[in-house]
Amino acid sequence: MATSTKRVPRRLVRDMFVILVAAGAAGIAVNLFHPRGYVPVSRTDLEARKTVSLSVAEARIKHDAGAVFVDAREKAEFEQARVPGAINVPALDAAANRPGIDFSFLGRPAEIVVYCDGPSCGAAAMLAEAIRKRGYGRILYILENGLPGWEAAGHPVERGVRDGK
Amino acid sequence: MGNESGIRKAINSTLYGNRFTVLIRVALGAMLAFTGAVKLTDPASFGLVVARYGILPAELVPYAASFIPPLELILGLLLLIGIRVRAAAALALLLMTAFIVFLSVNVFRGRSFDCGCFPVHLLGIGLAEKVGPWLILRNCVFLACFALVYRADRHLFSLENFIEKVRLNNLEKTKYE
Repeated sequence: MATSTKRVPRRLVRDMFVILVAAGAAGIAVNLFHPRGYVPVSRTDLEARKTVSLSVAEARIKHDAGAVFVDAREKAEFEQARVPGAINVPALDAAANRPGIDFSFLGRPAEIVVYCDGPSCGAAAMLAEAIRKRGYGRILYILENGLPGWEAAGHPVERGVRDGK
Repeated sequence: MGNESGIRKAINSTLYGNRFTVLIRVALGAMLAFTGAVKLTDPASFGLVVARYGILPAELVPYAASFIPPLELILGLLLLIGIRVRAAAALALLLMTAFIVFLSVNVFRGRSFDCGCFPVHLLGIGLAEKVGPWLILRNCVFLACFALVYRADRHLFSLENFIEKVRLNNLEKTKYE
């Protein structure tokens, strides 16, 4: 009786360690093959899933519901034509983190739809990434065919220099 | 110490390892193995249980949910067949302590929800045990039982014991032949 629990023997620690490792390995193995198991997903993958592309019709619904439209193109292009009510955040400026960009729209209780000049302009995706880097955790929408698609579908377009901005 | 009372003898014998110790070891082992196996059949649902306690950060919940069920199963099987009993009992003690802490924090917060201790609903049995002081007490009893199993020097009807017997028998043979 006196011999039992004087100090923790090394063999006990080793056995405990082996059991823990075995449990960890078994856990990984089960999750790998179980239909409702957990699987490792890379962070970039997880982020990418939060950026969703929208068709023009879907974007129109969001527009009517009060979503914030963000124009990722340059200022001159924005002044020429834009989705009514859109905000201009040039993607290059945002990506380079230049001062003078008003990001307060991120705090608004509204969904954000980013667009540029079409499916392959890249500015919208770049701006989406920049917004993501500022810690925006909700879903970001990208207008699939950009402003040309919007215009071609017959939705209204705002033109000319806006007084306020 | 020559005239020990009967109760004292019984306690000493249990601490050393008698049939009662075996009963506790096998019962606890079976319980751990059973709940571990059931939880293992649905990792995601056990993840929800872990998340419900609201203690681990969301990033760690999947790891805990993947790790605890196989640990319970392995510990249960080791206790059941009786090998590496002390190591298994030590880890079971840690596990029970963690459970008690998880329960206590939520009882302290004044919350009450299905504890998910024995997820037998996965087997189609309705059993909803609510988090509460009674569960903490029950886990403390389990803790004491695991402490007894950890403390015991001899485990009858165990693989450990059997191996030791075989070893001792062979020792004799090599000595006298």
